[in-house]
Amino acid sequence: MTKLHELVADLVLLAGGELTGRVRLQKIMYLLDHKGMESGAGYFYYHYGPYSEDLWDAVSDAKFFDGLREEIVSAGGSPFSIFKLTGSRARPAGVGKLPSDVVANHLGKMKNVNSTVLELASTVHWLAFVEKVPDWKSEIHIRKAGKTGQGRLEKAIKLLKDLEIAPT
Amino acid sequence: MARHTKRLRDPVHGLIVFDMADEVDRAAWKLIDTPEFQRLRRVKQLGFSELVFPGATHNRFSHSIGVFHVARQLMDVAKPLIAQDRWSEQRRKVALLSALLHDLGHGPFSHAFEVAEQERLKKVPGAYKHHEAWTADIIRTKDGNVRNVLKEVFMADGAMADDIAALLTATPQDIYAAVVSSSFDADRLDYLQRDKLMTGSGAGGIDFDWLRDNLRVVKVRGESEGSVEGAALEVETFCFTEKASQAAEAFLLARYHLFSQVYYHKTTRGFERLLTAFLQQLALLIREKKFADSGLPQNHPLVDYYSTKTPTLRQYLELDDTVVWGALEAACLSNDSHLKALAQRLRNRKPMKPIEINVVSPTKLDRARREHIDQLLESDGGKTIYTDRPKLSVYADHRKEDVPLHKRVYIQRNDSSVDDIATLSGPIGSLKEPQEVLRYYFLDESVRKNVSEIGG
Repeated sequence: MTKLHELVADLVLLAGGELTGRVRLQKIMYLLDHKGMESGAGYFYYHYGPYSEDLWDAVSDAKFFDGLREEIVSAGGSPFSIFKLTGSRARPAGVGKLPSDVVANHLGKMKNVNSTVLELASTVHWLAFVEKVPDWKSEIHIRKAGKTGQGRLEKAIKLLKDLEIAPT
Repeated sequence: MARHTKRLRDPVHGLIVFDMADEVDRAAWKLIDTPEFQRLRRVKQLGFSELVFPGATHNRFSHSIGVFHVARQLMDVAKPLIAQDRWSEQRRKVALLSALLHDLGHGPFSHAFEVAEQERLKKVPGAYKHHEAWTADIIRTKDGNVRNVLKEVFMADGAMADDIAALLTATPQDIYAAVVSSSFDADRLDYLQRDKLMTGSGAGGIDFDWLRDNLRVVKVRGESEGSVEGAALEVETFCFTEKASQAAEAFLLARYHLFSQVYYHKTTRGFERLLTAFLQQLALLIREKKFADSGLPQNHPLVDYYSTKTPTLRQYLELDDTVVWGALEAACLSNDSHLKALAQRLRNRKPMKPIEINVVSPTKLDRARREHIDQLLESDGGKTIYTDRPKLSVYADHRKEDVPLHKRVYIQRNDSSVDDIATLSGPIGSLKEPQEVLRYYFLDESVRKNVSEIGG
């Protein structure tokens, strides 16, 4: 069975060798797990929505074992991470239980989506399907006050629909 | 006419006065008296740190009152900086009481307990609750003492409870919430002083008076993770004037050193891993209905808690450090040899020595040892070999994915522009990347010794 750190490195590879943002990486993993990837990572609700401590350890392991590098850059004064692969890495046949081309297709939908939209999408999914909050539509505005405006929540719902994991 | 006041003496802040004519102070005094708040006397602020720093016996009770006191001071600083027509007395009240109640939901030995819970509930998505979620539940619960006090003082069927829970769980947007959670919030201002005092740590000094005097209120905009699309997020938070840049830098560095020297001390973390292992083993015995083997009576709060698939708020509130120490004492006579060994080790303070692996610039020896230990772990399954991976950052809170806008330290320049300190300060900029530490602990010292003798 693929170790979580290998899976992280494979994801960055399939994203074109580079993935921006810690929040983005966390939420992409979460959403892919709910598309059937089954990484084995455990999630709980935390500041930015569903969060996995296992994933952070796996990122650290991917740096140790798999040539993953994390650059901290500042743009507009706010530092953020860019994950890059160094060295060569063979394209895997699958990532977790999903074929690589399926994962690549999903990554294509998420890779350049605003991190806040990804955060909202994964939180909506969490509220609706994991916490099973009956009125998730109100709850998202309470938990993510200040983030749901300017069309972001609508974009988040659209992303979930594109991934075919949107709540009704 | 004489004021009717109540007073507490505190080693960090001196005299803390509650004016009974003031709604918030009156509510705070009554809330302190609730069983939910009194429970915090039995939850140590620094868990097992007292086994390394003997003076670190302070509890979350005194810390929470200290946070309330500091929050009042920060509000006094903030008020003149906000236009009168934008000032909200209601938000002020909510924020002050949020500051008082912010730690209500901490479990016994906080971190160690949470790690055990995360493992225990890993296969049940949504079952694990972080202490912040427990805090919100304790405050909101309809038949709880906290809600009843707030109903008594503020009426409106205890709606204040819902407002407090909402402030504590949402991302801070305004200056009132920033008093509770920001780069310079009341929580940090209390624990940095309290923990330094009580541990006797030599971690750097902080010029709080100068920092407070140079606080300003600003709105900051930031795009998440350098994303190019969409409008920026905006929050109202504290910043420092440029005159206080060096003091702000020292503040962040002092916090960093407290984390590296106190909170992440290798001996303390080793004891936390022992407790996590103990709780996991106890939970396993309970799950397998081997009550007699545990050495604990069936009505013990931990047995009660682990017997239930989804523990209730009542069961959670029964747990505190004293309950755990009692369980350890009883388990020293347990029929289960593993549980007994863990309990005795904790009760008698027998630390484990770690092996540290340099993960930033690993040598051949680091790689060889890690490979060997990972092989051992595959058969051990984490039963007698434990991993500790604290992530140390001068800027980010540990475990957080990112530094949220409201937690960043901002400096207002002489031209009124606002910059993140990480872009202005060399030391902060060079330390903003998390420093990763990897430690392995071995219950069996002979195994550790064998690993340490591995050559590169």
